[in-house]
Amino acid sequence: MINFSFRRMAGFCRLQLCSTYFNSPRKTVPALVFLIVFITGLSFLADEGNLDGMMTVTEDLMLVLISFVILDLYRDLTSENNAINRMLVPASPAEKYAALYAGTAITSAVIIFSAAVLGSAIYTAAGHFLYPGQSDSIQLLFFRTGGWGWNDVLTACMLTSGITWFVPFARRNMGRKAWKICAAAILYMAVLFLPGILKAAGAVSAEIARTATICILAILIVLNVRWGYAMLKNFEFDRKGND
Amino acid sequence: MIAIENLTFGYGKDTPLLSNISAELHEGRIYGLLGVNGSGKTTLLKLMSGMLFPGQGRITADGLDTAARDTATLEKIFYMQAEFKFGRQSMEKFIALHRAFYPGFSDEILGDCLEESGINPKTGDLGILSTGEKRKFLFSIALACGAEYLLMDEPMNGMDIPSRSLFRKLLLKHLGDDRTALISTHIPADLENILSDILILDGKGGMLAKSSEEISDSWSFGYAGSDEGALYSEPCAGGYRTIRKRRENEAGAIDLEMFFNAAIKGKLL
Repeated sequence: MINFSFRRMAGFCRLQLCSTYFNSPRKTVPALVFLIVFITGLSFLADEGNLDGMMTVTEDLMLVLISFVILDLYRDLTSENNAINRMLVPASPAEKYAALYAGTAITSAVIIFSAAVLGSAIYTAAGHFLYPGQSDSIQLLFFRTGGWGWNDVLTACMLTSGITWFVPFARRNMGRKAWKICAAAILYMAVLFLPGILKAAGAVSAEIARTATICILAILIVLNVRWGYAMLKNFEFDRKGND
Repeated sequence: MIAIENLTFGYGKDTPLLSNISAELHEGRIYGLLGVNGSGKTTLLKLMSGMLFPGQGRITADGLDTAARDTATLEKIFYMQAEFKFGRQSMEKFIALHRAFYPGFSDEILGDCLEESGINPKTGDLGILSTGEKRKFLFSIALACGAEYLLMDEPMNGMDIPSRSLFRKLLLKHLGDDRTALISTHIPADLENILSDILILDGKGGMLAKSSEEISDSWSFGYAGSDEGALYSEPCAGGYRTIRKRRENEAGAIDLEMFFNAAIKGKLL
């Protein structure tokens, strides 16, 4: 039976977030502003004279940033350096695993809303001065027409949940078993892009490929969550060296 | 009780670091864990805390497998690592974030330990504390959290001489009869007079476990002009420090360093 207490999960999530991102707002806020401005600026490099296209690039890059959040929280969870090792804090593996997602969701929400406000302000200014006529009204990143849809949310879930098993899997098989990492990555991508490949080959229609992709994404998310939990339960600290 | 049952563990495919060792750690006792470099002291502590999983055998705390890292098990065990970081966080915040996980957390014990250690509970940034102060603070948390089993890996590293005395004093004061401490060290003198039991890892996979009473009853430690008849001896000014089979009505303090040296050289078997 899985031992789960929402209170302990929330406490663990608070412990992780308050020790990392929300420890010092005076540092976190400028860092977040810098990242949003940097990512928005980076999107201008993909300038094809189309504001919509650049906004899509910004939204995609934010997705990468969110993936780094769960990666960072996972690193914090499995780090040996913390004074009280996170893995040894009295909370069950299930609570810690759920806290990882809760922490990512909270941080992602902060990133998305901050980017929506700040990034949109930059794009509105750019639209006014650099691309007059393209953007007559304010368009909020993520929430605009053509912004994030269900497939983007599913992709974000697939990426973040995938990290929870792929990182420990890669860590465990680093070195002589590196072929396993490559094989897993190739197999995973082959399954994910199978409908797209079939569509390109003319075997299925665009609509079927789209539906199949969404179904595969949903299945992969469920599998990712299960594998990630199993990996966390069996996570061992460095077995390679005797100190 | 922590029970180590036929534990075998190794890094990679080489000879196991710990080979088929068994021991029981009982309530109200203070265990010293000694061993040469690389003999597996930290590894054993990590195995007991659940950070590593046994290759063979198992370790239980009050019947619960430590490798499962269940909440009930983690509430019982506090592992103080040899190397750790606090990050830039205030002491109050650190305590507030962690105390909720320990139902038996005692503000009185924490307050007493911090006061005795001379650490300001209003410290705004734990990162600026010296190494010794960080250890004293974490040791205070270990005592205050109410965990039944305290596993400490070289907790006195970086502490000055008065702090080492204070460590012993606070440990004896707050440990109580229902809690157990296992302390690894390279300096046996640090723990002399407070240990009730000694575990020695011989560096070949084995472990010698003896209580202080057993050691006192079996061997006598002393000085002599000659090492004749001694089980083990070390030259010193004016003669030898010796370990001999204890004779009746013979009493004396345990020389932990001598005992350790004799044990790892196999002279006490």
